[in-house]
Order: sequence, then structure tokens, then C-alpha cells
Amino acid sequence: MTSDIYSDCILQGRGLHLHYAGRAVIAGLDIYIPRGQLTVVLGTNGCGKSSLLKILSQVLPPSKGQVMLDGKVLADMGSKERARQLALLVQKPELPDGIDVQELVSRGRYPHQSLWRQWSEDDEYAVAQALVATGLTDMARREVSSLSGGQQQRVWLALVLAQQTEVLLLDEPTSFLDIRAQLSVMDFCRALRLQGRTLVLVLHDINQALRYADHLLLMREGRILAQGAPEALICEQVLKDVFDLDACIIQDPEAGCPMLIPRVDQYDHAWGVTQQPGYK
Amino acid sequence: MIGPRFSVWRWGSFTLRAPAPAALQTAVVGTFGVLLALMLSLTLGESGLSPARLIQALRGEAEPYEQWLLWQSRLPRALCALGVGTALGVAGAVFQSLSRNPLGSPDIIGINAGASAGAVLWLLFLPGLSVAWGALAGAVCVLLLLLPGLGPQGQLSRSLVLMGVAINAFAIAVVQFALTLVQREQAQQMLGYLAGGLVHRDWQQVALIGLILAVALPGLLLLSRRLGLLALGRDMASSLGNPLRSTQLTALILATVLALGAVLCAGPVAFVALVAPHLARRRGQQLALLRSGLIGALLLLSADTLTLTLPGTQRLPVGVLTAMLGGAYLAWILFAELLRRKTKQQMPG
Repeated sequence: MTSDIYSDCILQGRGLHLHYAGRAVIAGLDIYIPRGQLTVVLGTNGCGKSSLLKILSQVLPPSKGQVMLDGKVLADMGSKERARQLALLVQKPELPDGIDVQELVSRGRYPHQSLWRQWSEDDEYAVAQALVATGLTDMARREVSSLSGGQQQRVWLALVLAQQTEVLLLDEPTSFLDIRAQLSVMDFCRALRLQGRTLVLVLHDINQALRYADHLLLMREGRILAQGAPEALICEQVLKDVFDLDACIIQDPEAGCPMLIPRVDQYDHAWGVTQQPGYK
Repeated sequence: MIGPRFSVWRWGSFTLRAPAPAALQTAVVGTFGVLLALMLSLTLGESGLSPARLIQALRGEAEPYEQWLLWQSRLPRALCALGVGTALGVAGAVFQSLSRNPLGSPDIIGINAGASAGAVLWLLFLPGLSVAWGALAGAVCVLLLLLPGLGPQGQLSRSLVLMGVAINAFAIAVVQFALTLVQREQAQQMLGYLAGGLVHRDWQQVALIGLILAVALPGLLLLSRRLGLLALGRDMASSLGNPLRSTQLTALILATVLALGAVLCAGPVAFVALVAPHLARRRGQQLALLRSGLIGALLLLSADTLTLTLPGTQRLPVGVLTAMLGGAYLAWILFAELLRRKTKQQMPG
């Protein structure tokens, strides 16, 4: 924990615990999110990744421990003040009936508004800018439910973008999207990072994580097993420890970063299916 | 200006934003609808006044009997219907938004059944006092029973709605049991009350429901931006800086006060709180609370007018008609939607 990357952390959590229905979902972890970097959280289903993002955004208050945002205790900040500095896009946000793109995106301005300041010029500018950045300007009047999955995800990204926060937490922003839409979301995140924002993403695609992340967090059973730069962190043993996965690591021929290839025939027994003689 | 759906007014750093076209439409339709329904309610029926007589009575130039009829009987009754309908429509919309469940209305989670059981037991054991207090006591009992099921942030969870359904069934059983215990005449009196009624309303009830609306409605309208944010899901609302606990608890208390006020004034009127928000939302999210209240008011007043008009229904409690009308209409709408969706699915591509 002493390397340079941790000297400037915008978000950190110490001694975090979360108990839910008698189970420890987060079991005592310390977390450091470096400022201005793209951090990716990886881990198996149910290892507490989503809960971690909710704790980091105070949507779910931790049972123990505290989160600091830029030197301030998150739990002591006002809810709107917090939402002006930190945005969370949950995995499955609910889509209200009959709402159009512009209206949904403008909900992201809520923390900047009040009863006396319902729609300032800043609000208007932020929403317009978010629509431009996500390429949705032409669809501003379309009903969100009529758009494709990839387009809808862009609308949600535009919403958190309109929030104009320094930190963005995105929970599986690429799930259920086709490969082209996935890459477009990832490129978008990289562009935000190049603007100097801090991003934390939960992903399932390890190769995408290796390609885009500056910083990796590997979780298992509510704990962080390892963290650091992808190149330094990823090795066959780590994959085995985190995912129970037998894989070899090669160099991504396109980006030059590490890339994993799962080995064949490692899970036949998992389903109780025995190999038939002559099958192969 | 953001576009045709909203209008924005700015004075320095003070800015207002409102869905002006929708608001105008609602105001116009609402005013005409309410006036028309009031006219019909006052002029139709056995004791109705003809339009000419109505105007005379309003000016105070009609005969004493007609004067009395308008000012002491028909007008308070109609205003009471409007007030109770508004309260039920708004309360239903808030309950549905808090429970994130289209069935989460005060009557489904057992407030009406609790009121019925309270009323019946009151008639059984304390026949001297006004039955409305029994209804109120029953409804409050149900709320107290549901209280432990309330989430830490004031949310009406799915299990709370289910708990309400169970309490509902229990309270109905209590009512049935009580009805078997009493004489036929008393049973008829009970049955009349159980369906919710507006017969013999006076200015006292109008004042009561008016007061309750004057307190709860502005509060809920102030909360409506926060309630609208809940439509994105609780986690998104919370991450956008909506203090969930205070939003949900305040809205819940205000909506409960509205539902209890309705029970106190008209007994357990069925279905208005469930149907009105659905009808209101069919034209989008904007002003959903206000429109739900308006639809509730129109629904209850029209149903009451019908009970006065239809042959042989003078003694029919208005709650029976709201259940019939509202239930049939909602079923028809949902059925039509289902059919439309099915034909859409069958289309190639």
C-alpha cells in the first residue's frame, strides 16, 4: 500500500463491513481509488462488487468503517453535496414509462437544483453537453423505451454525465450490450478519464478490463485479494485465486497489454457430465 | 427554453420549470370536468333541481325547501365526493410510487378493510357513537400492524404489501363474522356503511376533508420532484442526492392522512385509490399526482351522481358503484393493452 499511486486517492474506504441478511457481503476491506484514473473491479458473481460501489456512494451505508471522499467523511456530507461530486450508475436502473431522452438525462441535474433553482442555464448547458458527448442529440425527443439496448445505455451514461461529478462509479455498464456497443462504452469511459475524471467500473470481461484499466481491484468473497496495475498484477496464479480459472496469459496482439485465454476442458466435471468414450 | 414539453421562467438565479402544456391541459380539462360533474350532480336525480331553479337557489331566491336542499344536502354531498375522491386519488398515486408496485394502494394493503372491521365492531359494541370513529380506529390499527414491516428508509417493501393483503383478508373475515351476529336490521345498516357512502354528508365533513387536503396536498406537491426521482429505482434516486428516508417517510405520512381523511368522511370507498393513478399515468409521468387526484374526484362524484339517477339505486352506497365502474374500466384497459401487445408480438420481424 505504499506505492506512489496511493499517494493521491480521491476516494478511500477503511475497515468496511457490510452485513446483509446475516451474511458478511463485505468483510473488512480497505480500498483506495487513485485520482484521475480508471479503476476496474473484477470478481466472481456475488463477491460483493456491486455492494462495494453502493457503499462507496453512500447508497448503502456500511455496517462498519467509513468512506472518505476527497478528505471528507462521506456519511457527514449532505446528500446533494455528495451527488455533485460522485455519481453512481447502478446495474439495472428502472426506466419510467413514457419518458424521453432529454427528460431522463435532465434528471441527472437534480443535485444541482432546488425549489428556487429548478432549471438554470447551467442545467441546460450540462444536459446539452451530455447529449453531444454521448451522440444522442438527434434522439433527444425520442422515447427511451423505443431505443436499442446500446442506445439506452448511452442515455443512462448521459444522465450521470450531466451530473457533472468528478467521480463516476459504473456498475457493469457493458452487460447485455453487443460487442460494438461494449467497446463504444469503454472508449467513452477512457475519454472521460482523459478529461481528468476518476472512474470506477465493475466489469465481467477480464480482457476488456486489462485493456482499459489503469488500476485493477480483484475481489473475492467480500475481500480485496489484490490490487495494482494490470500488467503487474495479472498472472496465472492470481486468476486461479480469484476466479478458480485455469488460463494462460498472452500478449494482446492489438493493444500490447496482457490477455487471458482460458484453457480447454477444465469444467467437464462441474456439471456431473462424464465424457463419453469416443467423444472429443 | 428546453422545448415544447416544459416552460422555464428565469429571474436572476431564481428559476422555475413546469410542464406548461400538460399543466394547461390538466387545468382546462379539470375545470370543465369538475363544473360539468357538479352541474350534473346537483341537477339530476329525484331531489335534483332544474338548472333554472339551481341558479335561483344559488342566488338565494328560491323557495326555502329548495334552498335547504341545495345548501344543506346536495352541495355538501357533491363537495364531499370531490374532496374524498381527490384524497383517494392522490393517496393511491403516492402509495403506488412508494411501494414501486401498481397494486400498492391504501385499500389493497388493508386500510379500507381495517376501517370496515372497526366500523362493524363499533356498531356492535358502541352503537351510540358515530361510526366514523370506529372506522378511523380500525384503519389506524391496520397501520400500526403494518408499521414493523416498513423498511429502514421508509419504503413499502413487497412483503409489506403482502402483509397488507393478509391483514385485508383477516379484517374481511371479522366483518363477515360480525354480520352473522347481529339482527337483520342492524346488518343492513352495517352493510350500507361498509361499501362507503356519501348520503347525509354535511358541511362538517366538507370542512374536514378540505382541511386535510389543504395540509397534505401542498406538502406532497413540494415532494413531487423527489417522488418522480423514485421512478428511476431507489438506488438511482439515492445516488442522485434524494434523501430517501425523509422523502419516503414524509410522503407516506401525508398520503396516510389523506386516506384516513377519506375513510372518516365517506367510509371505505373501494377502488378509487387503485384506479385513479393508473388512468392518470396513461398520459405520461408529468403532473401524475395532481391528475390522479382530479380523476379520483371526477370518478367519485360521477359515481355518486349515478347512484342518485339510476332507477332503484338511491340506497346503493357509492362505493359499490366506484368498484363496478372503476373495476370494469381498468379491466377493459388492461385487456386491450394485452391484446395489443399480443398482436405486436405476432408480427414478423
